[in-house]
Formats: sequence, structure tokens, C-alpha cells
Amino acid sequence: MEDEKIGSSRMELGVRWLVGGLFIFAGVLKALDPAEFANDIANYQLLPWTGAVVGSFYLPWLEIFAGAALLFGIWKSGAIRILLLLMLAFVQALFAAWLRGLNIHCGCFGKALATSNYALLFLRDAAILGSLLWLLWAEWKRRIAEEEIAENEPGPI
Amino acid sequence: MKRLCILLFLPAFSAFAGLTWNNTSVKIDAQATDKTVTGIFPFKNESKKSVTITETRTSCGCTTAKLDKKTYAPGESGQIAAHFDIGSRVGPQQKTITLTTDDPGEKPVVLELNVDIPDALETSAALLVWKVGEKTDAQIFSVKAKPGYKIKVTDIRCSNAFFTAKLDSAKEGEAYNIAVTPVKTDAKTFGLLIVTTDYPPGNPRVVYSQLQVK
Amino acid sequence: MKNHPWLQALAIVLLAALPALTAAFFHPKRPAWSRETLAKDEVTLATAQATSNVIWLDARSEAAYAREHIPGAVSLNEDRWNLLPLAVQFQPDQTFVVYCDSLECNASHQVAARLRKELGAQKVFVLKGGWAAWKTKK
Repeated sequence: MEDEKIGSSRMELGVRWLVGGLFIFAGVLKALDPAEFANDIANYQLLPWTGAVVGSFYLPWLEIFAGAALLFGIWKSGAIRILLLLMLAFVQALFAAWLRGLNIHCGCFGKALATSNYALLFLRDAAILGSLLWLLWAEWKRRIAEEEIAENEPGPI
Repeated sequence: MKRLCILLFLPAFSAFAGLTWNNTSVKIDAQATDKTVTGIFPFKNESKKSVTITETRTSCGCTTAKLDKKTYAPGESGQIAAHFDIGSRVGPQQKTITLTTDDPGEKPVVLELNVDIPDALETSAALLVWKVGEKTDAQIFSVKAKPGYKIKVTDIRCSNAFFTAKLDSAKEGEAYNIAVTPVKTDAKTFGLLIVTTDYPPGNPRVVYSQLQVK
Repeated sequence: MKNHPWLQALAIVLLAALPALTAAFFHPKRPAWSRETLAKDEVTLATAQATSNVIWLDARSEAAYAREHIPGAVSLNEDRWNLLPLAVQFQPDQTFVVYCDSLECNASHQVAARLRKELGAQKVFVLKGGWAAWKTKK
């Protein structure tokens, strides 16, 4: 709860909980059935099968841990960065699949919410990406505020 | 050194030995009424010693290979008759017979029997779709016999009670139009139209069409 | 740690590897590591067994089926094609796994193709290695 003391707005807290919860949800669904998720990854035809298997074991847990970090506010700056990179990778994979006209199953949320409607998928990813960027921006703004406070306080001479 | 040369040459000699085939691939256009077809693969032993066929293996239980005898003297000709039981198969089929001889230097020969079995039945697109909320208008699924064949429709039914199907019009033995109607279209549902024919007599064909309210 | 977002990120990345490793060894639904020689519509025995609600289809001869078959499997071959028992309860999302004798047999691929064509079934797979694979794994 390290950063809670300075200006963490309610809005920021809400977004963190929402995005964190979403990633935990997505991660748990996929962690339950790696066999299915490996097939979903393979469907994107970007990775060799071994890569899809490694991803099917690791990615769900990365999402769960990063999501939990965001939700509980422990190492949340790190979590935001991980999730941003993850989302960028996901969007790129989705874009590549769309360009090649693949009929993917997304696999983003395991079997739940499975859709191959690209417009919906891009919209969902854009919303998540937007939230994460907003969180990063809020954090950066707060850091500047903190530095200003630190400069105005008398230094420990 | 001399011995080494002999060893090196042996495989080259055996490549010339053994059986030679006129044709290792036979294509047959079956009639829709055929129950079996037979492909003939003639061969000749053009080597200097007799060759014994030790094994014939077929790719499918539906295919059997028949040999007049197993051992062929130098210069002797013979043939393999491959019988293919068509069963309920339609369309292009490829069955293989793998043949092994007692000549250790010779690779097994793979004989191909390609059979095209015409389908005497023609159907319209096997998917009828209604949208949720749409009117429950009838849609037509048609079954036709190819020219020269007589095929009767003996039974029409749906796998799901949300659809009803009945004969709309028919030219007995030649063409049937079946009208399918969803009972209601207020929710998504799925079923199959199941149309039984009397052709071929032993194991009559059944054709299907997907029915969807979506 | 507090002021180093990237160090935090690294810590999360490393921590997540622990349950991932555990899953790789012990997860009941873990995918098979090797799929190199699988054709597009083929599945390994492990994948097929990890899939729920599978209808097994035995494409071997009726005699072979009568001798022994995968428990619950339905006999379906082109010697005497009869889809009717499957058709009356067919749902489009149903998963089918077809097997014949071994790696070399082709009957399962033909049965699978026909099932797709006649019923419009989409989730039709062929068991890699067929009955032989089942027998050796048992």
C-alpha cells in the first residue's frame, strides 16, 4: 500500500481494481485448461507448437500475478508495465491474425467470452490498453507532484 | 580390396533384379451400381533368378490382393488382382497394396488402385437458415437422381421437433423437393433434416441438411 | 524496489514462473510437448483424452470393433455407412475423434471428411496412431 498515501484518486483505484480483476479472471480461466489455450495460441500461427505450450503454461500465471499486483497495489508500477507490454503483444498478434484472415478463437478468456469477431476483439483490447495507459499517466503525474514536494521541502543538510 | 569392391557393387546389381511392372498405378472409373472393382497389375520377372513374393499388405480391409502363385522363375510373367469392395464409399478413393519379395536388396513395391465412384444422388445446399424473429416460411431442400438412375425418397424427418418437414413436390424416382418449416423462430435452435432413400438397395443412402434458427 | 518499476516487473515475471513450472509438470490438462508431425485435423491421444465430451468413432472393420474398441466408441465405417444414430442427436459443437488401426491406415481420415461433409460437423479430429496408439498407452 506504499503509494496510497499521496493523491491516489478514487478513479485510479477503481480502474486498477477493474483492470487487475479482469486480468486475474482471464488468467485463471486459461490456467485451468492449458491444453485448450495452447491450441488457441497455435491458431494464431505465430509461434511454433513448443512456444505455444510454454506460453500456455506461463502467460496465464503472468496475468494472474500482474493482475493481483495491480489489484492489491503491491509493485503496481511494475505490474502496469508488464500488462502494457502484454497487451501490446496481444494486439499485435491479433492484428497479424486479422491481416492474414485467420479464423482465430481469440482464447483471451479461455472458453468464456470466446468470439472471433475482430471488431469486438480490437475494441476490447483498445479499452484495456487505454486504461493501462491512463494508469501509467496518473502514476507519472503523481511522481512529478512528489518530486515537487521533495524540492520544496528543506533538504537534510 | 577386391572384397570391398564386391560389397560396393552388390546393391547396384540388386536394383536391376526382381520384378518389373508395366504400371504401378491403375485408375478405374466405377459405375454407381458397382459393388466391387478389380485392378490388374501385370509384372514380369526380368532377373536371372526366381523371385518369391513374401507379403502383400493392403491399406484398407476393403481391398484384397490376389496372386496366382508366389514364386516366379526368371522370365516368367504374372499379375496381381486387387479387389476393392466399394461398400458405401463415394467419390475418389485411393487404396494401396504394398508388396514384399524375398530379394533382400529390393524395396517393397507400392501399387496404387485409384477408383472414382460416382455419386448418383445430388442434393441442394445442406444448410437451411432462418433468422431469429423471421417469419416461419418454408425453405426447400431438394434431392435428385443423376440421369439414368431411379432413386426414391422413402422417409423424411427432423432430428429436432422445432422443425417440420414434408414433401413439397416430387417426380417419382427422379427429383424430390422437401419443404422445411421451423415451428417458431423466437429463439436460436439447431436440427438436422434426415432424408432416407432406397438407393443403393443393400444399404440405402441417407442425406442430411443442417437446419438453423440463428 | 519501491522506485524501480522495472525491477518490480522483473520480480513479477520471475514469480509467475513458479506456478507455471508446476503446471508444466502436474497440470491434469497440460498439452503435449510434441506435435511436430500432426496434420491439421489430427490430435494426439493425450489431447483427445483431455478434451471433454468427445464421441469416439471406430473406423475399423466391424469385426475389429466387435473384438475390442475404445470404451464408448461408436462403430462407423465406409463398408456399411450409417450415420443415423449420430445424426438424430447431433449438435454442431460436438467433438468427434475418429480412429482406425494405426499410423498407416487412412480410413479415419475418410470417415472424418465424410462426417464434415454430410453432417456439417466442424470439430472432427483423427486420432494420431489410431487404435495402436491407444493399445500401447493403455
